[in-house]
Amino acid sequence: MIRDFTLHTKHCSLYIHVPFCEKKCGYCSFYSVTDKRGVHSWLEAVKREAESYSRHGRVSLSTLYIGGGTPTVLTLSEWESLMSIILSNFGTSSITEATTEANPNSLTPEHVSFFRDNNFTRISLGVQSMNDSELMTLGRIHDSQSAGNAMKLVKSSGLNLSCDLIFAIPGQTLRSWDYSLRCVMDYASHISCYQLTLEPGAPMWAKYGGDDLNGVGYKFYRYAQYILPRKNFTQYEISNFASPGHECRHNLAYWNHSDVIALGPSAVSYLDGVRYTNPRTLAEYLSGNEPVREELSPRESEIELAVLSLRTRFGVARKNLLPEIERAIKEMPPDLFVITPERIALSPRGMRLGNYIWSEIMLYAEG
Amino acid sequence: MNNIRNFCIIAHIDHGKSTLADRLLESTGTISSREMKAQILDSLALERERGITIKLVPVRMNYTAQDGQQYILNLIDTPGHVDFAYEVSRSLAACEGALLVVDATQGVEAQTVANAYQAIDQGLEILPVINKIDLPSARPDNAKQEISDVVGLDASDAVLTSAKTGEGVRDILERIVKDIPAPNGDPQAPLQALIFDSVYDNYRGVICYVRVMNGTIRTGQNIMFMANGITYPVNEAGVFKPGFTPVNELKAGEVGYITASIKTLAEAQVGDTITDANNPADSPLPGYKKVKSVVFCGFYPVERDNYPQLRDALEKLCLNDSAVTYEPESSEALGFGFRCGFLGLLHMDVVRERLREEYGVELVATAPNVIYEVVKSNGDVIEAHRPSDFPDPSEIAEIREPYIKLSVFMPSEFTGRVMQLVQDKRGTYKSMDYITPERVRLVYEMPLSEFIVDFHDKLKSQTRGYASLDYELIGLKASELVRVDILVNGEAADAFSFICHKDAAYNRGHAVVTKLKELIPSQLFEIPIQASIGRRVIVRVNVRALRKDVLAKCYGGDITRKRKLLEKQKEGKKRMKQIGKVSIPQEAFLAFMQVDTGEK
Repeated sequence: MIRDFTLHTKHCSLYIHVPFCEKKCGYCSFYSVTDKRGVHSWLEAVKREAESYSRHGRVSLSTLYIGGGTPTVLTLSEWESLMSIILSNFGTSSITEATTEANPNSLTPEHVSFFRDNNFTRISLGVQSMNDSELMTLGRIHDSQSAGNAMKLVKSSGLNLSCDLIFAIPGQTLRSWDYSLRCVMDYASHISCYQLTLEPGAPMWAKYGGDDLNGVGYKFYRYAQYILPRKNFTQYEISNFASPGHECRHNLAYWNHSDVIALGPSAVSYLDGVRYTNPRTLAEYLSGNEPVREELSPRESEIELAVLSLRTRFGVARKNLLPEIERAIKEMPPDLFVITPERIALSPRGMRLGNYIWSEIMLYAEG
Repeated sequence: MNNIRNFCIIAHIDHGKSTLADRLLESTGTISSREMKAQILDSLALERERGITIKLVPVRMNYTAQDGQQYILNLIDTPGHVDFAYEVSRSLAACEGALLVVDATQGVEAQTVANAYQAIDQGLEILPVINKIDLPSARPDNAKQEISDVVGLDASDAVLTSAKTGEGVRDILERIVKDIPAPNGDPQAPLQALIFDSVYDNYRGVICYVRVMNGTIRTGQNIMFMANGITYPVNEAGVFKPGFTPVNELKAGEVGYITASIKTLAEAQVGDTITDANNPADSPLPGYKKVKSVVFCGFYPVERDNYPQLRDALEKLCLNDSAVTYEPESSEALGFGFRCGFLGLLHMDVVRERLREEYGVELVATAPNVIYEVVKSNGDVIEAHRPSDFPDPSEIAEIREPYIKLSVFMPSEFTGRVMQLVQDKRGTYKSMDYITPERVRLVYEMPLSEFIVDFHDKLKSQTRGYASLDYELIGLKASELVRVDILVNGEAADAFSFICHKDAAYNRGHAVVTKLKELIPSQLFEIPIQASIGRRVIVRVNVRALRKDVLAKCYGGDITRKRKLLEKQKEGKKRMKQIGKVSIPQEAFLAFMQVDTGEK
């Protein structure tokens, strides 16, 4: 994977995709494999890819995010190899946030010590639910007890904890949703709430796929928007809540069109306005297939940025906003937006209707 | 002239008219059985498919009777359907006699009576024929009795025949010669020839089918169409054998055709009189009128891009069906199309089928409607085609709509149900009589607008197909009609407004707003949908505001996919029509155009 372009950016985020899992979860359609024999060659390929960036000069990282997959299925020695790839190809001294994803059952105290010793600041834990029957429905391999233990483990290490929760699980009630939320509130400084969405290819698709779950999710989402701010978690994006100062900077980079280098199969980089999507499967990635390049026109890019910025509570600056977008927004009911002289953002109700609003904006902006 | 007999066959659908005609041709050797396609006279593919005759095709037969003389028998086939009542009347005017064919298994039906009366009115000699006597269920004596009781004709000496086996066909030929009078007319008098049909031929232009009443028509002669005064030299005169066969002249009493390089059917209207341009007759033959469309509907191409194709097809079709009218219109749901006028429902179906079969045009037809006449308070009278043509209720003094006189023949056990059905359709009872102890004739007057919306289907299902019906237009009558407007979020949505009787307004309004509620997707705000008469709202429902439309998760890898998802959602919106701030999907317009408005 040879990069034949010169990076203009001096500061950017780095994402590394670890495409390995112990077991595929029922709802998941992210790319991962359960056969860990490929880890060594994956590391080799990630190294080559990292070098293809660093050959033109060292890029200084602002944030780091290791996702998957399940990064915690890697052993400590594999983790050491991964860290040395990062350290030898990128400048790490300016990193303000370093996160790894983790799974409650594979996260060990040794992992946590390793992360702390290697200057990670944050662990994102796939709790999903604190109700065992919901976890079974989702096809998760952990139970609520191991999730609780993992949360305590991270908390006691002093690292920041982010927890993922899923709502609109078949059989879920508002009461059980409330319970899951309250359990993670005690440990986490950041909570991501995702509605269960099934895509063809996910194991649960056969049983529940194709149902329109959008309406089903309303009450859970509404409840999260109600309870979390009361517990000092501000909704700073459609699916993310954080206590003050704990917003995920790495993810904000995506929504602000900041530069991101992404390594690993199916990973997506965004550099100098161009998006590069790596080959999806490990095999294709290992064989060195080129990423797919996507470059939007300046106008398309502007519309995309407006839509992405409107995901967050910071919204979009009015100064450079396309007049068509501003007009589209004025046409919609005012209770969907929070409008200040400088910026426009979505109100909590606006966040519930994001897709509708964004497609409306795209319709207008098309002219 | 004494050896000419001009006659037609009148019968109810399916009583065997076409088969009998074929048998006559075969029996006189006009066409050999080898050349015989079943039912040779029904030339349109559609006619053969449906087993009904729409377009008249005349034929000339040579027959040597038992008296040893040679006769020329001209059979003028007639369409049996009420939509073509005018054409039927012109065909009858070209004849001196008619065979009244009645099915021995079914007896007299609604159209038998209507057509028989028309023939009697025009002074034709009626020759009753009882057909299908070969069938085990045939009851010829009952059929004779019914002809005498219902039509009032002596049928004791009716010919018994089976067009299928050929039994009795010779007897019919003999009776035609004996009972039907020879035509009279003066071959030396100024020319008067009746156009009883005209067709368009791509190479020869219009071909007029004529019956010469007086005078003689010759090749090369300068003729004049008396309705419009246009003159043409005759290119060719001829007779039907059954193919077009040129002759030097057609004399009084004869039936044949002429061509004269006439470009459009509009110049040679059915019922018009042809005369000699150099020696014109004093007056035209009686009975000519311009036919008027009574039933209208929109035709739209299934694919919007096929609009030019539809336009060309309609243009060509009208070359040989001058009774179709059309003008461009556009619809929010269907794009560009045409509003077309027809003589009746069957005519509408025929045209639609022809467009599909002959011109390969796939089209969407909207629900049929009629023309209303609105008398305004200031005395002005306007014609209203669409609900939007109606003035404000305060300016309306009276609304009139076309009425029909409807006769239904059916087994007496269905009387109650049919009466209910007709009354639900605003029918007014006129009379009821027993044709036989088991069969009843009901006569009602009802609005045409109610008749053209699924009456036929409902009648069939209520009577298990045993009822037959006939109707005639009896003119306009005042009705308590109202325009019901539909408001979406307070804005008038013209495409959904409709005309109906004031007593049906609530039910139909309710049906429409309920349907719209199902079809208009939830949007960012609550949308009231109202039905109103003038300013008075009669029904209201709300489309609830959208509560959630966001599926989360959008990080580096999801952005492109997410954008494509939104693109799709956006494209969906683009196809919707804005009424005020509300987006209404095409399906809503479509559903409304075909909606059974749910009257009980």
